[in-house]
Amino acid sequence: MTTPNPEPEEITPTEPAGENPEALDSTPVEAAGVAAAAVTQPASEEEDARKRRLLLVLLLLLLLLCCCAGYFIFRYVTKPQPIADMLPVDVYYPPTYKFSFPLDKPVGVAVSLDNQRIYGVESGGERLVKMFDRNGNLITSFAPPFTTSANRKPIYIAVDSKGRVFVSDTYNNVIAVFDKDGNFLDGIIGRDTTLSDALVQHLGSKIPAGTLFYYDNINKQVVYQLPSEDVSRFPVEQIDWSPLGLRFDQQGNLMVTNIVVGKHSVLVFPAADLQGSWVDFNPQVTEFGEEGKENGQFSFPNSVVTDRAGNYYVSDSNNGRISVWTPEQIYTTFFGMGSTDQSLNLPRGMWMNAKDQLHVVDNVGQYVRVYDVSGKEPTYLANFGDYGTEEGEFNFPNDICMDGTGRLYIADRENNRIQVWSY
Amino acid sequence: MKKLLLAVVLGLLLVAAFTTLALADNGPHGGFTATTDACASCHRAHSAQYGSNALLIMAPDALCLSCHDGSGAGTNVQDGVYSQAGSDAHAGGVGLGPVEGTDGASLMGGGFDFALMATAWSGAVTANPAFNATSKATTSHHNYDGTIGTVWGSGAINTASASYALECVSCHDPHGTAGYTNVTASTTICNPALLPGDPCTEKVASYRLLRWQPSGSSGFTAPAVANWTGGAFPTNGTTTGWTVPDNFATTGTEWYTIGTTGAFAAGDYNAGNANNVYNLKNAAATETNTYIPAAVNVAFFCAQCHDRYFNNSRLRNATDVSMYCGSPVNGTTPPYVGSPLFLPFNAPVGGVHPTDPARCEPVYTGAVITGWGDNGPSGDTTYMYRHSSGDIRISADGSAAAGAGTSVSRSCVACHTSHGSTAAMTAFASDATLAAVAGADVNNSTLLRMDNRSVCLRCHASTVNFTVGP
Repeated sequence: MTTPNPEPEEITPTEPAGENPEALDSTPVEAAGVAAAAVTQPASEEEDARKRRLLLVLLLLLLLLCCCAGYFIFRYVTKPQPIADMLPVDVYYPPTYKFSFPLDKPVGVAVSLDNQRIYGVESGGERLVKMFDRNGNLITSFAPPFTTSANRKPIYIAVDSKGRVFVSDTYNNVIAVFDKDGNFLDGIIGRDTTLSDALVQHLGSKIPAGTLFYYDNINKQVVYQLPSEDVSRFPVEQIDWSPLGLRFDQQGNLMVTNIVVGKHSVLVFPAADLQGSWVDFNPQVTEFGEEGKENGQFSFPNSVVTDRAGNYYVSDSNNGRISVWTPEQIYTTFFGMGSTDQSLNLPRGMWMNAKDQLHVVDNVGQYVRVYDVSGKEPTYLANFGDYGTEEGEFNFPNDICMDGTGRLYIADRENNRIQVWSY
Repeated sequence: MKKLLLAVVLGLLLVAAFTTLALADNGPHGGFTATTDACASCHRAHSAQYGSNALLIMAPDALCLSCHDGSGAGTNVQDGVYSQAGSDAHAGGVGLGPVEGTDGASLMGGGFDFALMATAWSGAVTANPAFNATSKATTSHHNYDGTIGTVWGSGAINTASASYALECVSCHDPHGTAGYTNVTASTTICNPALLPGDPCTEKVASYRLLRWQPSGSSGFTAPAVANWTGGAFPTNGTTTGWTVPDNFATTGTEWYTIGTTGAFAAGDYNAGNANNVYNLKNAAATETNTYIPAAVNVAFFCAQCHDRYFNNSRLRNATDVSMYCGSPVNGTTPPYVGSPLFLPFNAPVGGVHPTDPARCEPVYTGAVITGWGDNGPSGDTTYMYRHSSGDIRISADGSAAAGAGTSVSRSCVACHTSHGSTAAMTAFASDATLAAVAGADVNNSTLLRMDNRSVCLRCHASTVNFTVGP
């Protein structure tokens, strides 16, 4: 960048000639030119310097911007999370609707830890668990063995750190467990009983590879079929076991809502007890809550999540509130109940993001409410969605989950679809 | 930056202000208080989406199924089962295995999409809880989503059947009777022993939340041609003077679906008091303080829509001492030899009733059935003759005395489910010609509890020389 010389005729001498002796020996024109040059040179240098400084600042800003962008890109690539969670300002940014993909009356939804597999649970049609890719393309579908749409009722679903898929089958009171591809692995049929556990005890030996087994709650029997043999049964009674909602906390503990008549509660299965073989299944299950309408009581609890501090949040559905418990499973308070514009009708599925922003699906309210539970008191942030059948509108939504990239998946039951929103 | 943040916050507040609604808490079935805010669980005063009067948030069928699919209530009407461990509120305590109200047991009314029923009758009456019960897709069901369907036997006699759009709330009152005027304060329905303090201002949910009459029906009006001499039909909340035997007190049993236990029609669908008020009792059948108003007589209830079935040729009255052939014998106690419940299974050749031979004679001889205490044809050319609706008043033991002895009901629900049935129609009932004539779907089971016409055999097995046995 250069500074053009000013045209002589445009120069108007402003300084006395006596202040420049050389100019006295020159022609008027030359003198004017010399005078102009003498006056312009320092100003031009100063201007150049100023512009250089400005340029330097701009370059530094650009470099800083690139560094910031690089930092975010690096963080996003190494540990994907919602952009809102990475922004340094404490402002809530509601998500926006992206697209949806079809299921038959979906009531449960979950996503794998690698964000690549989305699992939706159908309550209509064939009542399958269906697996999709991030674009909503169907990969496969699956269901427990020995069941048809007439005798299974999958509702809620959760995926653990190993990619295992846990599905609550309320028709048979089973938490059915599949591998990430939908192959049936085992089932939890009691607080300390699994299908494999019961079957090994019945057979008195290991379960041969290729054996199919499941539970028939109507006849209170385990149904199994050894390879190349006929289907057989043996009785197993379930005790105080009626699992509904499923979620894993950050430590991998399985949290289950249990809706046994008169004994509605939350059960927590330690992560360590869910590893390894389930043949000698004896988890140190902890339980909190009881059935009722008072403080510390539940009426059809549907979902449990935890915040960063380990506090439990239970969607106490038929009481229309969120119940809060300490990590020691001591009741503290509730919120969301009442008639304000921040309260809930029929809270069902929930999800807690990394900022302790609690997302609650209101089945009857037809929206998702978001609360900030990071402070001493839960505060309402916003809600998104509304009743309808158009894009971004809900018709009896029932469950929600979020992946590591800030995508929200919402089971929109009566609209027969999973909606995808994103932060 | 501050301006930008301020703008964002203001924008969010503005959005929130325009999108939020008044909300509320609590469940829908009673428990209301003077300061309740439960109404807004289902209703909106200014922004309702459905129902000019109901002001519902959403379509009522989807609203009900949000809980009654098993995720918010034990009564899973979609699948026709109880989907909640420990559901034994109505188990009856009679030691007959899972019955209605027990986890994994069938709902009495069947289900709308699927039902757990033993529709294939083996002839055995058994306490086996797994009495051939399997869950299948329904082959017929009442509508519950507001679509218009034919109401068979409805309308003026000798005319085509009417049509009507049914919803869950057509038959059930989601508020129970706690909400409004179905129940008036009365000592006959409010028992101080149950509701201390001010018992008769307390309102309790009605039995199965049944309405006095289906919503939208005009209420039953005795047809002019009906040979009905029994008196006035019941209307909302009124007493009728009909005496209904309380079999629940006698047998200690709840109604059993055929599919679950094989027992047949012995239950408290007969069990009302003199005011047509259900007397729901505990498992030991000793709790007498839970008077629950409801549409007691199912026949009355069903006839609110299917009124021409009630325009009956054989309704009984207080002077009727006759009984169909397959009734138990007065003074005898089940189980009978060869059949735990019904005499005809082991009746003498010819099906002659041992204490009242004339009773079965018309059936045996094939003679025209007359003189059964009935009063002639109905006058309806389409629905001229039919079974009586036995639970209106029945003295199944042959006694003229009302309520004496063990009864066997022939209420509508003895043969039909109210929600939906999985019965298979493989014989005449599957005939496409029949379906075309009747305007029904092929294989439509017309809500019958058992395959083809097995419901007939439950009572009439001996008269068709049917070999039965486990």
